[in-house]
Amino acid sequence: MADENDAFRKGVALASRVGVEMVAATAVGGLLGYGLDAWLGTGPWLLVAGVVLGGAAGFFGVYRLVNTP
Amino acid sequence: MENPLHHFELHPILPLHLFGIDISINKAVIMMWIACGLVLLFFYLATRRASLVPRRLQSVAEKAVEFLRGMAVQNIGPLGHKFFPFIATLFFFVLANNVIGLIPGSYTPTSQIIVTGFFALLVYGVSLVLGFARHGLHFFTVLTPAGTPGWLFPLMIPIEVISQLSRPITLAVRLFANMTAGHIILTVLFSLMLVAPVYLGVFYIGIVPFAMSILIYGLELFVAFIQAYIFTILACVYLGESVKLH
Repeated sequence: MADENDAFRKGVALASRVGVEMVAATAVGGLLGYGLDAWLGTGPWLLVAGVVLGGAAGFFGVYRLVNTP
Repeated sequence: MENPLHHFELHPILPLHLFGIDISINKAVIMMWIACGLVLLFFYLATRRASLVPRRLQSVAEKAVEFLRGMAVQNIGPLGHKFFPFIATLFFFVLANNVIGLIPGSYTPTSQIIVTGFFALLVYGVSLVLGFARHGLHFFTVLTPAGTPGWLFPLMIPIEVISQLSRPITLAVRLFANMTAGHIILTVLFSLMLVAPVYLGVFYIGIVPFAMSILIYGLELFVAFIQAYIFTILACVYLGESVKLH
Protein backbone atom coordinates (compact mmCIF):
# COMPACT_ATOMS: atom_id res chain seq x y z
CA MET A 1 0.00 0.00 0.00
CA ALA A 2 2.74 2.41 0.95
CA ASP A 3 4.67 1.57 -2.23
CA GLU A 4 1.57 2.04 -4.38
CA ASN A 5 0.98 5.43 -2.78
CA ASP A 6 4.59 6.37 -3.39
CA ALA A 7 4.46 5.45 -7.08
CA PHE A 8 1.22 7.38 -7.55
CA ARG A 9 2.60 10.49 -5.87
CA LYS A 10 5.80 10.32 -7.93
CA GLY A 11 3.80 9.87 -11.14
CA VAL A 12 1.62 12.90 -10.46
CA ALA A 13 4.69 14.94 -9.53
CA LEU A 14 6.41 13.95 -12.79
CA ALA A 15 3.34 14.75 -14.91
CA SER A 16 3.03 18.12 -13.24
CA ARG A 17 6.67 18.97 -14.01
CA VAL A 18 6.92 18.04 -17.69
CA GLY A 19 4.57 20.66 -19.19
CA VAL A 20 5.87 23.66 -17.28
CA GLU A 21 9.48 22.59 -17.94
CA MET A 22 9.13 22.85 -21.72
CA VAL A 23 7.09 26.05 -21.80
CA ALA A 24 9.31 27.90 -19.32
CA ALA A 25 12.57 26.99 -21.08
CA THR A 26 11.22 28.15 -24.46
CA ALA A 27 9.91 31.37 -22.90
CA VAL A 28 13.21 32.09 -21.16
CA GLY A 29 15.16 31.46 -24.39
CA GLY A 30 12.83 33.71 -26.35
CA LEU A 31 12.95 36.49 -23.78
CA LEU A 32 16.76 36.31 -23.60
CA GLY A 33 16.97 36.57 -27.39
CA TYR A 34 14.47 39.43 -27.46
CA GLY A 35 16.35 41.32 -24.74
CA LEU A 36 19.72 40.83 -26.47
CA ASP A 37 18.19 41.96 -29.78
CA ALA A 38 16.83 45.12 -28.20
CA TRP A 39 20.20 45.77 -26.54
CA LEU A 40 22.48 45.02 -29.51
CA GLY A 41 20.06 46.00 -32.30
CA THR A 42 20.63 42.77 -34.24
CA GLY A 43 17.25 42.38 -35.95
CA PRO A 44 15.19 39.31 -35.14
CA TRP A 45 18.11 36.86 -35.33
CA LEU A 46 18.93 36.45 -31.65
CA LEU A 47 15.22 36.06 -30.90
CA VAL A 48 15.05 33.20 -33.40
CA ALA A 49 18.20 31.61 -32.00
CA GLY A 50 16.88 32.07 -28.45
CA VAL A 51 13.55 30.36 -29.18
CA VAL A 52 15.32 27.44 -30.90
CA LEU A 53 17.85 27.03 -28.09
CA GLY A 54 15.11 27.43 -25.50
CA GLY A 55 13.04 24.75 -27.18
CA ALA A 56 16.11 22.50 -27.24
CA ALA A 57 16.68 23.21 -23.53
CA GLY A 58 13.05 22.34 -22.84
CA PHE A 59 13.25 19.02 -24.68
CA PHE A 60 16.59 18.24 -23.06
CA GLY A 61 15.11 19.04 -19.63
CA VAL A 62 12.18 16.68 -20.21
CA TYR A 63 14.55 14.01 -21.53
CA ARG A 64 16.64 14.27 -18.37
CA LEU A 65 13.51 14.32 -16.23
CA VAL A 66 12.15 11.03 -17.57
CA ASN A 67 15.60 9.41 -17.57
CA THR A 68 16.36 9.96 -13.88
CA PRO A 69 15.04 7.07 -11.80
CA MET B 1 -22.04 37.61 -13.88
CA GLU B 2 -19.06 38.28 -11.67
CA ASN B 3 -15.63 38.25 -13.28
CA PRO B 4 -13.97 35.00 -12.08
CA LEU B 5 -10.63 36.81 -11.82
CA HIS B 6 -11.99 39.50 -9.54
CA HIS B 7 -11.11 37.35 -6.52
CA PHE B 8 -7.39 37.58 -7.35
CA GLU B 9 -7.17 41.38 -7.32
CA LEU B 10 -5.48 42.74 -4.22
CA HIS B 11 -6.53 46.00 -2.64
CA PRO B 12 -4.68 47.56 0.28
CA ILE B 13 -6.59 47.21 3.53
CA LEU B 14 -4.08 49.28 5.50
CA PRO B 15 -1.99 51.50 3.15
CA LEU B 16 1.62 51.67 4.38
CA HIS B 17 4.69 53.20 2.76
CA LEU B 18 8.25 52.81 3.95
CA PHE B 19 10.97 54.87 2.22
CA GLY B 20 8.83 55.05 -0.91
CA ILE B 21 8.23 51.29 -0.99
CA ASP B 22 4.62 50.19 -0.93
CA ILE B 23 4.25 47.75 1.98
CA SER B 24 0.48 48.03 2.29
CA ILE B 25 -1.27 45.28 4.19
CA ASN B 26 -3.69 43.42 1.92
CA LYS B 27 -5.64 40.18 2.25
CA ALA B 28 -2.73 38.06 0.96
CA VAL B 29 -0.47 39.39 3.72
CA ILE B 30 -3.10 38.72 6.37
CA MET B 31 -3.67 35.20 5.05
CA MET B 32 0.07 34.51 5.17
CA TRP B 33 0.13 35.57 8.81
CA ILE B 34 -2.79 33.25 9.50
CA ALA B 35 -1.01 30.44 7.62
CA CYS B 36 2.09 31.01 9.78
CA GLY B 37 -0.08 30.95 12.88
CA LEU B 38 -1.77 27.72 11.80
CA VAL B 39 1.58 25.95 11.30
CA LEU B 40 2.75 27.11 14.73
CA LEU B 41 -0.56 26.10 16.32
CA PHE B 42 -0.42 22.67 14.67
CA PHE B 43 3.05 21.94 16.02
CA TYR B 44 2.17 23.39 19.42
CA LEU B 45 -0.84 21.09 19.69
CA ALA B 46 1.11 18.13 18.29
CA THR B 47 4.00 18.45 20.73
CA ARG B 48 2.11 19.76 23.76
CA ARG B 49 1.85 16.39 25.46
CA ALA B 50 4.60 14.53 23.63
CA SER B 51 4.75 10.92 24.65
CA LEU B 52 6.82 7.92 23.65
CA VAL B 53 3.72 6.31 22.18
CA PRO B 54 2.47 9.15 19.96
CA ARG B 55 -1.15 10.20 19.98
CA ARG B 56 -3.00 11.09 16.78
CA LEU B 57 -1.76 14.62 16.11
CA GLN B 58 1.76 13.88 17.33
CA SER B 59 2.04 10.87 15.06
CA VAL B 60 0.91 12.94 12.04
CA ALA B 61 3.56 15.57 12.83
CA GLU B 62 6.25 12.92 13.38
CA LYS B 63 5.41 11.12 10.12
CA ALA B 64 5.54 14.41 8.16
CA VAL B 65 8.85 15.50 9.71
CA GLU B 66 10.41 12.06 9.21
CA PHE B 67 9.25 12.05 5.58
CA LEU B 68 10.79 15.49 4.95
CA ARG B 69 14.04 14.56 6.66
CA GLY B 70 14.28 11.43 4.52
CA MET B 71 13.65 13.47 1.39
CA ALA B 72 16.30 16.06 2.31
CA VAL B 73 18.97 13.47 3.13
CA GLN B 74 18.19 11.33 0.07
CA ASN B 75 18.55 14.26 -2.35
CA ILE B 76 21.19 16.44 -0.69
CA GLY B 77 23.31 13.82 1.03
CA PRO B 78 24.73 14.09 4.56
CA LEU B 79 24.44 17.88 4.33
CA GLY B 80 20.69 17.35 4.17
CA HIS B 81 20.49 17.31 7.97
CA LYS B 82 21.75 20.88 7.96
CA PHE B 83 19.23 22.00 5.36
CA PHE B 84 16.35 20.08 6.87
CA PRO B 85 14.94 23.06 8.84
CA PHE B 86 14.88 25.18 5.66
CA ILE B 87 13.20 22.40 3.66
CA ALA B 88 10.64 21.66 6.36
CA THR B 89 9.79 25.35 6.83
CA LEU B 90 9.33 25.74 3.10
CA PHE B 91 7.06 22.70 2.92
CA PHE B 92 4.81 23.59 5.82
CA PHE B 93 4.52 27.25 4.86
CA VAL B 94 3.68 26.51 1.22
CA LEU B 95 1.27 23.77 2.28
CA ALA B 96 -0.51 26.05 4.76
CA ASN B 97 -0.75 28.79 2.12
CA ASN B 98 -2.21 26.34 -0.39
CA VAL B 99 -4.71 24.74 1.96
CA ILE B 100 -5.91 27.93 3.65
CA GLY B 101 -7.48 29.16 0.40
CA LEU B 102 -9.86 26.20 0.36
CA ILE B 103 -11.71 27.58 3.37
CA PRO B 104 -14.68 29.53 1.98
CA GLY B 105 -14.25 33.29 2.32
CA SER B 106 -10.47 33.15 2.65
CA TYR B 107 -7.74 33.64 0.07
CA THR B 108 -4.75 31.70 -1.30
CA PRO B 109 -1.54 33.78 -1.06
CA THR B 110 0.20 31.29 -3.41
CA SER B 111 -2.17 32.34 -6.21
CA GLN B 112 -0.10 35.54 -6.50
CA ILE B 113 2.96 35.04 -8.71
CA ILE B 114 4.93 37.55 -6.62
CA VAL B 115 4.63 35.21 -3.61
CA THR B 116 5.60 32.03 -5.44
CA GLY B 117 8.23 33.97 -7.39
CA PHE B 118 9.87 35.07 -4.18
CA PHE B 119 9.86 31.51 -2.79
CA ALA B 120 11.44 30.29 -6.04
CA LEU B 121 14.11 33.01 -6.08
CA LEU B 122 14.92 32.23 -2.45
CA VAL B 123 15.40 28.52 -3.21
CA TYR B 124 17.41 29.19 -6.36
CA GLY B 125 19.51 31.87 -4.64
CA VAL B 126 20.33 29.52 -1.78
CA SER B 127 21.34 26.78 -4.23
CA LEU B 128 23.61 29.21 -6.14
CA VAL B 129 25.27 30.53 -2.99
CA LEU B 130 25.75 26.98 -1.71
CA GLY B 131 27.25 25.86 -5.02
CA PHE B 132 29.74 28.74 -5.23
CA ALA B 133 30.62 28.42 -1.54
CA ARG B 134 31.42 24.72 -1.86
CA HIS B 135 33.03 24.59 -5.30
CA GLY B 136 34.15 28.16 -6.05
CA LEU B 137 34.50 28.89 -9.76
CA HIS B 138 34.56 25.14 -10.41
CA PHE B 139 30.78 25.38 -9.93
CA PHE B 140 30.51 26.65 -13.52
CA THR B 141 31.10 23.08 -14.71
CA VAL B 142 27.44 22.55 -13.85
CA LEU B 143 26.88 24.11 -17.29
CA THR B 144 28.53 21.15 -19.03
CA PRO B 145 26.69 17.90 -18.22
CA ALA B 146 28.87 14.86 -17.58
CA GLY B 147 29.87 13.01 -20.77
CA THR B 148 29.49 15.96 -23.14
CA PRO B 149 32.09 15.82 -25.95
CA GLY B 150 34.18 18.98 -26.33
CA TRP B 151 32.87 19.96 -29.76
CA LEU B 152 29.33 20.20 -28.36
CA PHE B 153 30.29 22.84 -25.76
CA PRO B 154 29.29 25.86 -27.92
CA LEU B 155 25.80 24.35 -28.22
CA MET B 156 25.44 22.86 -24.74
CA ILE B 157 26.51 25.91 -22.76
CA PRO B 158 23.72 28.24 -24.05
CA ILE B 159 21.20 25.42 -23.60
CA GLU B 160 22.36 24.79 -20.04
CA VAL B 161 22.34 28.53 -19.25
CA ILE B 162 18.72 28.69 -20.44
CA SER B 163 17.72 25.60 -18.48
CA GLN B 164 19.40 26.99 -15.35
CA LEU B 165 17.62 30.34 -15.76
CA SER B 166 14.28 28.63 -16.29
CA ARG B 167 14.51 26.81 -12.94
CA PRO B 168 13.17 29.57 -10.69
CA ILE B 169 10.54 30.37 -13.32
CA THR B 170 9.27 26.78 -13.52
CA LEU B 171 9.16 26.61 -9.71
CA ALA B 172 7.16 29.84 -9.46
CA VAL B 173 4.84 29.31 -12.42
CA ARG B 174 3.93 25.72 -11.52
CA LEU B 175 2.75 26.56 -8.01
CA PHE B 176 1.03 29.81 -9.05
CA ALA B 177 -0.72 28.30 -12.09
CA ASN B 178 -2.00 25.25 -10.21
CA MET B 179 -3.43 27.30 -7.36
CA THR B 180 -4.95 30.01 -9.59
CA ALA B 181 -6.46 27.59 -12.12
CA GLY B 182 -8.16 25.53 -9.43
CA HIS B 183 -9.73 28.55 -7.81
CA ILE B 184 -10.93 29.93 -11.16
CA ILE B 185 -12.63 26.58 -11.90
CA LEU B 186 -14.30 26.62 -8.49
CA THR B 187 -15.51 30.21 -9.00
CA VAL B 188 -16.90 29.41 -12.44
CA LEU B 189 -18.71 26.31 -11.16
CA PHE B 190 -20.22 28.19 -8.22
CA SER B 191 -21.36 31.02 -10.54
CA LEU B 192 -22.82 28.45 -12.93
CA MET B 193 -24.73 26.88 -10.07
CA LEU B 194 -26.54 30.18 -9.52
CA VAL B 195 -26.86 31.28 -13.13
CA ALA B 196 -27.75 28.04 -14.96
CA PRO B 197 -31.23 27.53 -13.38
CA VAL B 198 -32.19 31.12 -14.27
CA TYR B 199 -31.04 30.91 -17.89
CA LEU B 200 -32.31 27.42 -18.62
CA GLY B 201 -35.52 27.81 -16.64
CA VAL B 202 -34.96 24.43 -14.98
CA PHE B 203 -34.59 24.82 -11.25
CA TYR B 204 -32.77 21.58 -10.40
CA ILE B 205 -30.11 21.85 -13.18
CA GLY B 206 -27.93 23.68 -10.64
CA ILE B 207 -27.21 20.34 -8.98
CA VAL B 208 -24.83 19.42 -11.86
CA PRO B 209 -22.28 22.22 -11.34
CA PHE B 210 -22.73 21.76 -7.59
CA ALA B 211 -21.80 18.07 -7.77
CA MET B 212 -18.83 18.90 -9.97
CA SER B 213 -17.67 21.62 -7.59
CA ILE B 214 -17.51 19.03 -4.79
CA LEU B 215 -15.35 16.76 -6.96
CA ILE B 216 -13.09 19.66 -7.98
CA TYR B 217 -12.82 20.70 -4.33
CA GLY B 218 -11.47 17.25 -3.47
CA LEU B 219 -9.05 17.48 -6.39
CA GLU B 220 -7.92 20.91 -5.22
CA LEU B 221 -7.18 19.56 -1.75
CA PHE B 222 -5.02 16.89 -3.37
CA VAL B 223 -3.34 19.47 -5.63
CA ALA B 224 -2.57 21.69 -2.62
CA PHE B 225 -0.62 18.83 -1.02
CA ILE B 226 1.06 17.58 -4.19
CA GLN B 227 2.22 21.07 -5.22
CA ALA B 228 3.74 21.72 -1.81
CA TYR B 229 5.47 18.34 -2.13
CA ILE B 230 6.77 19.09 -5.65
CA PHE B 231 8.02 22.52 -4.63
CA THR B 232 9.92 21.04 -1.70
CA ILE B 233 11.37 18.05 -3.54
CA LEU B 234 12.61 20.33 -6.33
CA ALA B 235 14.20 22.59 -3.74
CA CYS B 236 15.98 19.45 -2.43
CA VAL B 237 17.03 18.39 -5.95
CA TYR B 238 18.45 21.83 -6.80
CA LEU B 239 20.33 22.04 -3.49
CA GLY B 240 21.57 18.49 -4.05
CA GLU B 241 22.93 19.38 -7.49
CA SER B 242 24.75 22.36 -5.99
CA VAL B 243 26.39 20.05 -3.44
CA LYS B 244 27.27 17.16 -5.75
CA LEU B 245 27.70 18.93 -9.15
CA HIS B 246 25.74 16.79 -11.66
